[in-house]
Amino acid sequence: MASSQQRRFDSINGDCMLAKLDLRKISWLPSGKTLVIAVPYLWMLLFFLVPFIIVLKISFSSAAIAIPPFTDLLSFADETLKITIEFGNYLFLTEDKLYWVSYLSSIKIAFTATVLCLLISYPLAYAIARAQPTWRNILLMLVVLPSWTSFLIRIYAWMGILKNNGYLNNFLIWLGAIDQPVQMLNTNFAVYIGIVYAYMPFMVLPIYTNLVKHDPSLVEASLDLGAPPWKTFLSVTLPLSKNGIIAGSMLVFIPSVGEFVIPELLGGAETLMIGKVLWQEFFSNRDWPIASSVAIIMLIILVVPILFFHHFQSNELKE
Amino acid sequence: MNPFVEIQGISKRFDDFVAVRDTNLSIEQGELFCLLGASGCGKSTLLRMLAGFESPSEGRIFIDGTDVTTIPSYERPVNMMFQSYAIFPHMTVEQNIAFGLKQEKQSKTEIRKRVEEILELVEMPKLAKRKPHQLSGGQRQRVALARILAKRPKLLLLDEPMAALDKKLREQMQLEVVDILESVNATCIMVTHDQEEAMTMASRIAIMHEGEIIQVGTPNDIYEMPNCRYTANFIGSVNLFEGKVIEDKADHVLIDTTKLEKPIFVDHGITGTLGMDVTVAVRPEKISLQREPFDAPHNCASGTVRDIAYLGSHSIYHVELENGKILLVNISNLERGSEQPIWEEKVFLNWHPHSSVVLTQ
Repeated sequence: MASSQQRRFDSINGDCMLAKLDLRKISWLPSGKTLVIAVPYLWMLLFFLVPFIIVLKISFSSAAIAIPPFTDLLSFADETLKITIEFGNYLFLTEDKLYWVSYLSSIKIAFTATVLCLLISYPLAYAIARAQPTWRNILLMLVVLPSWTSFLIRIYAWMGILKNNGYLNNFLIWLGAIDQPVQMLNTNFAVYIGIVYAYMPFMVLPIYTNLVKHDPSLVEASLDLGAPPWKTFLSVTLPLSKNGIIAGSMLVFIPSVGEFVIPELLGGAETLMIGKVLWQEFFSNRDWPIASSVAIIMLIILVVPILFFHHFQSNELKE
Repeated sequence: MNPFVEIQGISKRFDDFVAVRDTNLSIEQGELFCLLGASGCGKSTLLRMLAGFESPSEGRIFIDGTDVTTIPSYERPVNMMFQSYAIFPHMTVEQNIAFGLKQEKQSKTEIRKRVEEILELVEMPKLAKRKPHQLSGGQRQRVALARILAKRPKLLLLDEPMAALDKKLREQMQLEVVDILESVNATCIMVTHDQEEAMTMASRIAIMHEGEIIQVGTPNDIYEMPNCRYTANFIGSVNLFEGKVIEDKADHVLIDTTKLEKPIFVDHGITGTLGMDVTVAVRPEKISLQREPFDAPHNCASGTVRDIAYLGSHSIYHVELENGKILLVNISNLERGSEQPIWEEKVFLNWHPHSSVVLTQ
C-alpha cells in the first residue's frame, strides 16, 4: 500500500524522482549494514571454515595409499551407508612423545620470542609515540618497510648474516671479539632472532597505537604528585598500555607457535617446533590424517590465547 | 618580609616565539591569585613553569623563600590541577588520592587517614571505590582537587579549573572550590580565560596579554579602574571615546572628543599633559537612558535605539549617535512590564563624572 502510494507520488513528481530508487523500500533485500558485514563473514566461511572442516574430516580418517592419501569417512556399499570415524590419529598423538615435546617446545620458543620482542618493541613504540607528530609516520614506515620484501627472502638474508662465514661472524672476528666462527645458524638462537625480527612490526604497531592515545597530562600529573620519571612509567604509562601489550603479544605469539619457515631455515636439529612436525607428516610421511590431527590440536591449544586476546580487544574497544 | 611566591624576571622562549616576557609577580600566602588572558597570552606557560614542566629561559622562581627554578616537578612543593583533571583512569578515586601520598613514603595507616579526611572535605566519601569513568564532571573535578590537596602543597596551581564543566555546574563549583580552598588556607594560582570565573573566584587578578602582565589588582580595581584599553575591553564591555585633554586640573579633567557634542568631564586627575591623546572608558551600566533630555553640562549624548538585547535581568541597548557611533547602555529590568524605549526611538544618555576612566595607554 505504502509503496504503491510512493510510486504514484513519484510519477507525479516526474522523472527525477523515478531515478531515485529507494533500496530500503524493497523489503526482501538485506539492509546495507547486513551486506557490509556479510562480505567478510562469507569470506571467512569460504576460506577458513570450509578448509577447517576438510582438515577436521581428514583427521578422522585413516591413511591410505591413494590419491588423496586417506580413506573416506562415508562409504556406500551393499545398500548401506557406512560412516567410519578414526580416533586413532588423536590417540597416536598422545602415545608418541615427539608430538607433546614439540607442542611444548613450540610454545616455549614462541613465548620466549614474544617476551624478547616485547622488550625490544616497547621502547621503540614509546620513542615513536613521543616523537614529533611529523616524524611519527616516517618512523612507523621504517618499522613496516622491511615487510614489503618477501618474508622468505628476509629469512634467507638472515642465513647469510648468521652462517659461520657470514657477516656477523666475520665482523666479530674483525673486531677481535672471537677467534673462530661461533655456530649461530641452525640453533635456537637463530630461530629467536628470526621470529623477533619477522614479527616485530606486529608488536610495535598495537603498542604504538595505544601509547599515542595517552593523555600526556597523566604523566605530568604523576610527576607533579611526586613520582620520579621511572616510577611514573611503572605506575602510569605501563599499566595504561596493558591492552596494547596484550594485543601485540598475541599477534606475535599465536603465529609463532605454528611457524614453519623460520625454524626450517634458521633452526637446527635441536629446534623442535610443531610447524616442522606438521610439514614432515604431510610431505615426508604422507600421513595426512596424522598431520591434520596435529593441526587440529594446535588450533585447540591456540584457542585459549585467542579468546584471551579477543576478550582484551573488546575491552579496548569499549574504552 | 618576602612574598610567599616570587617570580623574578621570568621569560620563556620557544624557538623564536616569546611566550612569556620578563615577568615579575609576587603572591602572598593564602591568596587565590588568577592569571587571566585570552588564549595564547602565555598564562599557561607561566603556570607550567611554576609547576616545573617548563624551565624558564631567564629569571628565577622563589616559593616560600626557596629558589625552585631548577628543581624538577616531582620534588617541588607545588601541585597542579589539570584542565583535563588528568585523573588516572586505571585507579579508583581512593587510589588516585593516595597516589601522591605514597610518593612521600608515608605509612599505610597515615595514608588511609589522610584519604578519608580529604574525601570528607570534598564531600564524596561514598565514592571512594569508584573508577573515574563512573563519575560525573563535577565529581571528577573534586577528585582532582582532593588529589592535590591531600599532599598539603605550599602552592596549588589550577589550570582552567572550570573549563570542562557546563555553565550551571560551573557557577556552583566556582564558589564550592573557593570554599574548600579557603577552608584549608591554600595559596593558589589559577589560570583562566573566563573573566567571570576570575572575578568570582580570585582575590587578585593579573591580566596577561602577549606574554606580559599588563595589570594586577583586585577584581574591583580591574573592572572599575582599568589602566589600558586592552584591560577595559577584555573585562566586560565598555564604550570608548578617543579625545584630547583640553583642561587638566588636580581634581578633574575635560576631554574633547569628536564623537560627542560636549566634552567629557572626568572627576579625577590624570598624569598627563594638556593636549595629549587619551581614551575615555564608560561601562554600559553606568550610563542612564531616558526619553527626555538631561539637564547636565557634560557627559551627555543623544541617539536612536538600534538594537535591544533582552537578557532577563537587564537589557543591552545599542544606541546610535548622530555621527554613527554606537554606544552600549545597560538598563536594569526593575519592574515587570515597565514601558522602556523601543527600537527607533530617540533617547538621551548621561553618565556621572565619577563613572568614567581616562586611559592613557
